[in-house]
Amino acid sequence: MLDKIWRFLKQLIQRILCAYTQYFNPPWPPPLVRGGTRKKILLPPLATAGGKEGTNLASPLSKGGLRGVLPTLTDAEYEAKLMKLLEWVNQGWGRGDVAEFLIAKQIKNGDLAAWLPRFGSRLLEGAQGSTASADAVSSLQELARGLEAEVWYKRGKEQNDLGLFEQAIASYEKALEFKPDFYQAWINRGCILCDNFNKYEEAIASFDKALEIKPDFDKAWYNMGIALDNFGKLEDAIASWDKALEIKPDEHNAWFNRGLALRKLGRLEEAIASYDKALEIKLDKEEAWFDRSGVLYHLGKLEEAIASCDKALEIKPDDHAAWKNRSIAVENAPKHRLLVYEILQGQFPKSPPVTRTLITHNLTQRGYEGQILTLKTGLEYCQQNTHPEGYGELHQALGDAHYSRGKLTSPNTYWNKATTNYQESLKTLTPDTFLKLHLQVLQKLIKTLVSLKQTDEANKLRRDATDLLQRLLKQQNYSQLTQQQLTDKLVSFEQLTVNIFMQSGQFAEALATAETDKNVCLSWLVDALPIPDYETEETVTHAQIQQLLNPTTAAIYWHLSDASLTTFIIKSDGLLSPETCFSDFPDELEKWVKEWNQQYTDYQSKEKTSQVNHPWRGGMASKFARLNAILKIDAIEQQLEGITQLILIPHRDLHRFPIHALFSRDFVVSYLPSAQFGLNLKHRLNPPTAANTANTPNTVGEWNSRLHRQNPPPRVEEGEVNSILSIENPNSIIIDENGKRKELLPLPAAEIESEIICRMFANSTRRGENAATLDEVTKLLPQPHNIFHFTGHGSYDFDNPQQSTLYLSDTHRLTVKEIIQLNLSNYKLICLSACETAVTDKQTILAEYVGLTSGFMRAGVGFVVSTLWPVQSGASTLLMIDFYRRWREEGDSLPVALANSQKWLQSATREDLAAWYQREIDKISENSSELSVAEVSLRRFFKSNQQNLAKMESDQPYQHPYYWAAFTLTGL
Amino acid sequence: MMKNNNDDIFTAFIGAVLQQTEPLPAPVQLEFNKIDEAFTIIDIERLAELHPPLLAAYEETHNWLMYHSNERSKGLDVLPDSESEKENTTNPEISNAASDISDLTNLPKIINEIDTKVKPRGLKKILGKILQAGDSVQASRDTILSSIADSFTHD
Repeated sequence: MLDKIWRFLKQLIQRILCAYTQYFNPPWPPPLVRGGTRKKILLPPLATAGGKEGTNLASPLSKGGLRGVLPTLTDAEYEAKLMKLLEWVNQGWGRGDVAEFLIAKQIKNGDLAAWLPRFGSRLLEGAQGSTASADAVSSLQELARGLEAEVWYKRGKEQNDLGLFEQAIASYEKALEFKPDFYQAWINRGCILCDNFNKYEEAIASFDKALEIKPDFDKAWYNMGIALDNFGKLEDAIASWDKALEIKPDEHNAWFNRGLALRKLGRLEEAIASYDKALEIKLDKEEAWFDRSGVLYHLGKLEEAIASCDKALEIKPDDHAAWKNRSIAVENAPKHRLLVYEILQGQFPKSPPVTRTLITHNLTQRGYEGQILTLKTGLEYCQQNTHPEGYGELHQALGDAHYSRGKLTSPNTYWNKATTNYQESLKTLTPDTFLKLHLQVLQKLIKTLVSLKQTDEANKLRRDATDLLQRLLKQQNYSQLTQQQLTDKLVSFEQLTVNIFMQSGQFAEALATAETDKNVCLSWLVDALPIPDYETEETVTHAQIQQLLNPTTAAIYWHLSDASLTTFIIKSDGLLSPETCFSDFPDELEKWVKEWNQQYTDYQSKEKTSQVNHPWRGGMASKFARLNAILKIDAIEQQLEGITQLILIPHRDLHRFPIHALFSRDFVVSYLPSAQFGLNLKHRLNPPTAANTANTPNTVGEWNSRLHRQNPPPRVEEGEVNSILSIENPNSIIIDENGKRKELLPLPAAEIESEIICRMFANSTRRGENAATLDEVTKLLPQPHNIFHFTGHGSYDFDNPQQSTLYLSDTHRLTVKEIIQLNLSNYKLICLSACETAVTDKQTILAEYVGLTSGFMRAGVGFVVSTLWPVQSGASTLLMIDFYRRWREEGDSLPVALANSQKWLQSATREDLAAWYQREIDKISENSSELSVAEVSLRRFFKSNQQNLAKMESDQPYQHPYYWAAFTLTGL
Repeated sequence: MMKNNNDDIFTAFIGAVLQQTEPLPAPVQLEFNKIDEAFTIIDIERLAELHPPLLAAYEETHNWLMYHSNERSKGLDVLPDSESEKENTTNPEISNAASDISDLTNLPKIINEIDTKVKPRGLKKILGKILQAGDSVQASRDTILSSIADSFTHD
C-alpha cells in the first residue's frame, strides 16, 4: 500500500503543487494602486478553490465554522477519501476539481491539513527502514505544510480585510514559516508594512524576498516601487516600475505612479510622457488627466493644463480638486484656445471629447472672472448635502480668489465677498469632520476680518480657534491631526493676535504680544516642551524693551504671521506710532524666502567647483536689494536719525538672513533672539537696583535664579578676559544614510585661525583632532574660560532644533540639548565660525528659529558670533583673525569689531590684503629668532596666501556679500 | 594642532621633488640624506630653500594647495571615498591610466596622486624614504609608481 501511496503522492505533488503555484498566484497580487494623493491598496484576491470565492475554508486552529456543522471523519475514512482523491488527481484533476471533491466529500481543507501529518507519522511508524516510505512521508508532510501555509495566508487576508493588520502580518509570517518560498505572503506582508505601518525599509526587504523567489513577477516590482517611493528613493522607485513595465507594459498604474515620481523629481516633461502612456492604456484614468494638468501648469502650459483638467472633469465632474486646479490655471491663462483641445483630442482620439466645460457651461473666460465662474460651476456638482468636503473646498477657493483680488482693487468689496465664502465653507468643513480644513479656512477668515478691521469678530474667532486647539492638545485628541500639526496651528492663530492689535492701533499691545509669542515659542522649542505655553508667560512691555536702548541705540523688531509682516522701530525715548510700527502683507517675503531656499538647496547639492557661479551665490546682491525693499529698510532708516547702533530682533525665517547687510548706513549691529534675552543679559551684567527693579519682568529674575542654582563657574572679574577654550578642526565623522562612516573635510585654514587667535590670550585650552570628545568638551566648558572658539563643522536640525549640533571628534556631537544644560554665564564670547542655518526648500520656520546661537544664549553667554551659511574658509579665517585683533588689540567692543572687520574685508584691495598678510608674517617672527613648528606652518600659510592674491580676478577679492555678510553677532 | 597644514607642507614638498626634471645637485642631495626620521616641517622649509628650482616648485605647489583648500567651507562636506573604496567599482585599467605622471606640469594630477596613493600610507614616512634615497627625484617617482603597484596587490 505504501508504494501505491508514494506513487500517488509523487504525482499529486507534481500536479497539485504545480497547479497550486498557478492557482495560488493571485492573478494580480497586491497592486498598490495610487492616484495622486488618493492612495489605496488592493490586496490579492483570496486563494479560492476553483474560483469558488466565498467558500469558507476554516483555519486548522478554528474551533467554529464548518467544523461545528460537518461530522468529524475517522482516520480510516480520511485514508479512504485520500486514496480516492489521489487517484483522481493522478488522472489529471485540477485544483478546482480537488476543491469540489473536498466539499462534496465534506472534507475541509484545514481538517485535511491537520490530518495529513498525523497520517504521515503513522506511516512513518509503520514503515521504518524503507526509503520509499520515508520519502513518501516526507512528501506527505510537505503537502501538509503547503496546505497549512495556505490556510494561514487566507487567514492573513481575512484579517487584513477586517483591518487587523498586526494579526494579518503575524498570519503571513506563520504562512512563511510553513512555506518560506511563498512569495505571495512576502508581498502581502510588505504591502501591510508599507501602507499601514509606514515601515518602508521592512516592506522593501519583504518585496526583495518575493523577488528572490520570483524575479519575473511584475506585481512585486510594482509594489517595490511604491515602497521605495514612500521611502523617498524616487529614482529607485522609477527603476522598479520600469522593471514591472518590462514584464507587463500595459500596467497603467505603473506608468501613472512613475509619472508622479518623475514630477516629484522635477522631471516634468518625462512625467507628462509617463501619464500619457497610462492614458493610452486607460483613457478614463481620471487621476492621470488630473495630475497631468498639474504638471502642465508647472511647465507654464496653462491652456494645456485646463484642457487636461477638463478631460478629468468629463470623467468625474464632482472632483472638486480638478475644479480648483482648473480655476487656478484659468486665473493665470491669458486666452481660451480651442486648438489646444483639438490637438489633445488628436493625441487621444478614442477619448470622449470635452463637452461639459466647453459646451454645457461655456467656461471659456479667463482671468479672475473665469476663475470665479469655474468655481461656481464646480459647486453645481459638489453640493452642500452630497459633497461636504468639495462644497467647503470650493467655497474656500472662492474666498481665496476674492481675497487676492481685493489686494489689487476695491479691497472692502472683495474681502467682504471672501468673508462670505469662508463662512459658507465653514458650514461643511466642521471641526469634527474636517479639522485641518476647518482650521485652514478659519485662519483665512480671521486674516480677512483683520484686513477689514473687523477686529472684534476676528478676535472672537481667534479665541475660539485657540480654545479648540488647546482643548484638543490637552485631551491629546490626535485623531485628525498630529500633535505637531495642532501646535503649529495654535502658534499660527496666536500670531494673528499681533495683527488684531495692530489693526486696532494698539501698538504697544501688539509689540508685547509679539514678544510673548516669541518667548513662548523659544521656550517650547529650546526646552522641547510638548505644547507652547501661552498661559503662564510673562509679558515684556515696550518700556522694558526701552531699557535695552539709549539715545544712539535703537531696536528693530519684526513679527511675522500668516496675515502680515509687522515692523516695530523702538527708540529709547519714542512712543510707538504709525511711522514706527507698520504692517504689510507677508506674500512677497514668503515668495522671496521660498526662492532663496530653493536656490540654496540646489547650491548645497553642487560640487564646490560649480558653486562659485551658482545663482544663489552670484545673485546674492540683487536678492538682498529685493529683501531691502520688502522689509522697507529705507523707511526704517528714515526713523533712525542720530542712531549709530542697532539691535535687530528678527522673527522666524528672518533669523536666517543677513539683515545687517541691507542697511545703507554703517550701523553697529547686534542681534537678539528676543527682547527678553537682552533684558536677561542686561540684568545679569548690571543686577537690578531698587530703582529699576519695578520694571524687571519676573521671568528675568526666575531665569537668573535658574542659572545660579546650577553649579556656578568660578567667577572671572569683569574686564578680565584672558582665557580661551579652543576646539579646533576635530576629526569629525558622520554616519551617512547607508550607515557608512564619512570623514568631514579637514579645514587647514581653521587650524591657522585657531593658532593665531589662541596666541592673543594669556591662557588657552586647546583640543582638536581626536581629543575633542563630548566628555572632554562638556568637562572643559564649565571651567573658568571667557571665550569658546570653535572651528569645525556644524549643522542646524530643522525638525528637531534641540539636535542642532557642533561636530566634535569622531561621531561625538555637542547639541543644543547639551548646551542648555550648562551654565555658561562666564563666557563673554562664543565664536562659531562653523554653523549653517540650512533648511531644505520645502521648509519654512512656522514658530521661531532655534539653533546653536539661541542654545548658547540660553546658557547665559554674552555674545555669540556665528555664520548664516558656510563661507569659503580663506575669507572666514581672514575675517575671524581680524575681528579678534580689533577686539583684543585695538580695544573695539565686540559689535564694533565685527562691523569693522566686515567692512574691512568687503573693501580690502589685494594690496591691503598683502599688507595684512605681511603684518601677520612679521608678528610671527618679531618675538623670537628661532621659529617653532607651528610658527613655520603659520608663516608658510600666510606667504602662500599672500602670493595667491595675484591669482584673484577682482582687485577687491572679498567684496561680494557671500564672503562677509554671513557673520552675525548675537548678544548684548 | 597643525596636522593638516603640516601635511600640506609635506605634500607640497613631495610634489616639488617629483616635478624636478634633473637629479638634485650633489650637495643638496647630501643635505637631504642627513635628515633623520624625526624631521619636521622646519627641516623641509630649510631643504626647499637650498635649491631654487625646488623652492619655486615647492612654493607653487603649496600655493596651489592653499588656493584650493581655501575654497572649502565649513559646511558638511565629506572627504571623497579613498582609492581602495573606489576600487570596488573601478576597472584597474582606468586606475592605471589615471596614474600617468608623465605630465609634471599638471599640478592637480600630481596632488591627486599624492593624496590618493601616498597619503594613505603615511606622508611623513614616505617622505622620509625619499629624503634618504640616493636620488630623491627618482625615488619620488618610484614611490608613486610603487604605490600604484601596491594598490593592486594589497587591495
